[in-house]
Amino acid sequence: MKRWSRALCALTACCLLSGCWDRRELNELGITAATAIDRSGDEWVVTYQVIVPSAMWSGAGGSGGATSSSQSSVHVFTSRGSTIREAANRANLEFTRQLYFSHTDVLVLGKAAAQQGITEVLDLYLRSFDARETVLLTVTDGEGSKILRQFVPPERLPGTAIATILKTDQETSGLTPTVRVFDVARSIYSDANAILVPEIGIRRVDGGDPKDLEGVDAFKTSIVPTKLRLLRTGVFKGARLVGWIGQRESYGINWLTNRIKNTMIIFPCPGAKSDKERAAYRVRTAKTRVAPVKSGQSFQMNVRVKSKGVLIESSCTKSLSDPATIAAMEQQIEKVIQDDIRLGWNASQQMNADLAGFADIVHRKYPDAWKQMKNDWDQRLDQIELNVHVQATLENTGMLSDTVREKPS
Amino acid sequence: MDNQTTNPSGLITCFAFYEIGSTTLFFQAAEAKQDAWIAMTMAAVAGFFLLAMYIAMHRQDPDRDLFTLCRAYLGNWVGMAIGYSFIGYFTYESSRNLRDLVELTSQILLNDTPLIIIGLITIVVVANTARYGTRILFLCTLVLFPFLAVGYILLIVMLAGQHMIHTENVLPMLENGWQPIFKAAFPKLVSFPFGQTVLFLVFFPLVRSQTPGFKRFVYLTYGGVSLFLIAMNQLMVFVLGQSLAEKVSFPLLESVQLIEFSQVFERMDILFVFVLFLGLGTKLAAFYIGAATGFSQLTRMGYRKGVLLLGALIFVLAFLSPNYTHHIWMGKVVTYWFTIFQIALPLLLFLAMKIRRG
Repeated sequence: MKRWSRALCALTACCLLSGCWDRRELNELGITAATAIDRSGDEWVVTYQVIVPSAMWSGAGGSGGATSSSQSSVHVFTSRGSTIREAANRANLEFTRQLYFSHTDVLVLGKAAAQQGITEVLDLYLRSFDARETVLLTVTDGEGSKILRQFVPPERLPGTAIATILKTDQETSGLTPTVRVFDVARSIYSDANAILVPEIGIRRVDGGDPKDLEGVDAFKTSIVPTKLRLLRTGVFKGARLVGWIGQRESYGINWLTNRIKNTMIIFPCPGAKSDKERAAYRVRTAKTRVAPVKSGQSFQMNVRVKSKGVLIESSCTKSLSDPATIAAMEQQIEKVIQDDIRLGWNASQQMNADLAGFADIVHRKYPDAWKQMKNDWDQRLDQIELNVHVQATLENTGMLSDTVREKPS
Repeated sequence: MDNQTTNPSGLITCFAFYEIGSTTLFFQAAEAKQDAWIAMTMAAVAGFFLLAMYIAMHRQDPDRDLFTLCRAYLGNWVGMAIGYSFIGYFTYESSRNLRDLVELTSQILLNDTPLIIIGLITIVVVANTARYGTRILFLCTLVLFPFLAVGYILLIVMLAGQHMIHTENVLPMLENGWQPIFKAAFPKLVSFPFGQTVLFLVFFPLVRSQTPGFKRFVYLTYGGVSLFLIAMNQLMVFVLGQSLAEKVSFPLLESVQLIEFSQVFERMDILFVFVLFLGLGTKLAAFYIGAATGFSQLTRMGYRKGVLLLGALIFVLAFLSPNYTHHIWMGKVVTYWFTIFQIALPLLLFLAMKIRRG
């Protein structure tokens, strides 16, 4: 009896532990590295950049073999549908593998889709378990599908490369914001209800043909005629693209919203006689605090920025070993940061979008005033006064204590 | 069943485990929005008084458990009836935990596996634990507790390490006044999770509770666990903001999915599933054993037969709701009824004990 029951247990375990229901074989999955969502008429047009595993095997180090140059490492195709999921479903009419979205690195929105609103996209990403909401979001002034067809040599996976470009930029220069799908979802539920999404586009080099980067031939040359590049920044109000702002403006907004981690600032030398006298300052740590103060029917925002960094380039004439010069330089840096912040905020005011997220800050500190103002907050942005106070510290001047210059004759 | 008395340490760990249970699965006190922590604190304090009452009852008659207490002080027939209703309550709570666990597995790990199969496997595993009785459950929790603790600590450290905890989300305080807070706290939050300690009236007699400091230790554990639960609940607001925390099915999972720790630790979902499996499984088993203990006492049927019968019942009850939405909706309805078992009946029993003893 006991032996029987044991045998039965073992047998059941065999059946149960094999997990036949949710079996997923790797070679049956089409892993997408990037997705683009466009809109044409009443339909969603979804483009997928699917990794071709056999082309990825050879030469993982990048040196490549015979196969790597003859076979494309990604396969790009498009499907349409009245909903995004329908489009994804129809993809299987023409594609052998089941699409798998967990490893998507970047999502490119076409202009038409972005202007029409992306709540459906946000819903999809938050609702489904396999599509991650940590996917990075970019928008393009045109069709997203075109971006996906471009290679980014020397990287084998263009989608992953775009994500890397975005992340690296955030970590080293902070020129454009890095935005995840989740951030946009959070933004539409926030009081400010506005967010910046970086634009990606194709830039021609010396009149090259944009088609040239689409084939595997892109890997055969050292100079490519066209390049994928981060350009402006798209302004989203709610889930809709309402306009664009330039890189300097979005940089200012990044300062204002404490998104700057590491960046570089070019500033004119103290007492400079010409434009040639400039120096560069690398920010190592930066912190921005914003505190609202109610003044009448509007608000004054006290912005306090603290940054620490080092000098990395200089063509200044004054002696760098004099503490007074350093202090003067710090003042110049402070002025540049201040100007950038104001530039960003002006752009924000012009777009009538609260890109700095002041609404949430005001809501937290003045809940009663917020209740009265929340309905026409975007119109009130013009009345907000910015009071910027920057404290920049120049910690050292690098390996040189003076500027290299010719002997005075 | 093993009726030997055991060390209080097992009971205390089980108590902590049980209280943490599945509480972190959902955003509690969603009506109170960013003030959820105030609602949680109030409910925890109310739950503390309930716990104090349960312990006072146990102290007065340390050898009797919930079911024998009922019969001894409320008369044989009334006591029997109330005892059976408690068995029903424990069984239903157990089935709710089973359904939670099944839904969690199905939505996150095994999308294509039928719910029935997941439920069947789970109930078989838990029934096996229940078969061994309370003492083994206590020992199990002793062994598993470090894993639970490390799991949660890892989650918190990773969220904090990525600067994802925006503590300013707690402001503005009392934006909509006290009313939504009271509404969220009473009776819903008192009933789940804080009032559920009523189950331990079944377990207290099993330990040498007369050891000095036992009472204080239970209270301390309760306090610590309550603080932890309040913090975890507020963590969801800190990471997601209150609007999203309200809308997402599993807010903690959503927060965990955002972790991208130095490009190595991504998708820590499994850690979330791990801590919740432990919590849900323990809670499921504890209610199950509580019900089975009462069942074998009242019917004089063998404990193991009772386990088998109740296991089947829990399994069936778990699939009463046709879909997940109904299950969640049902959960909100029944919490009002649960106060009968957590407040009304224990209070009745408590008063009866006071009067009988004079």
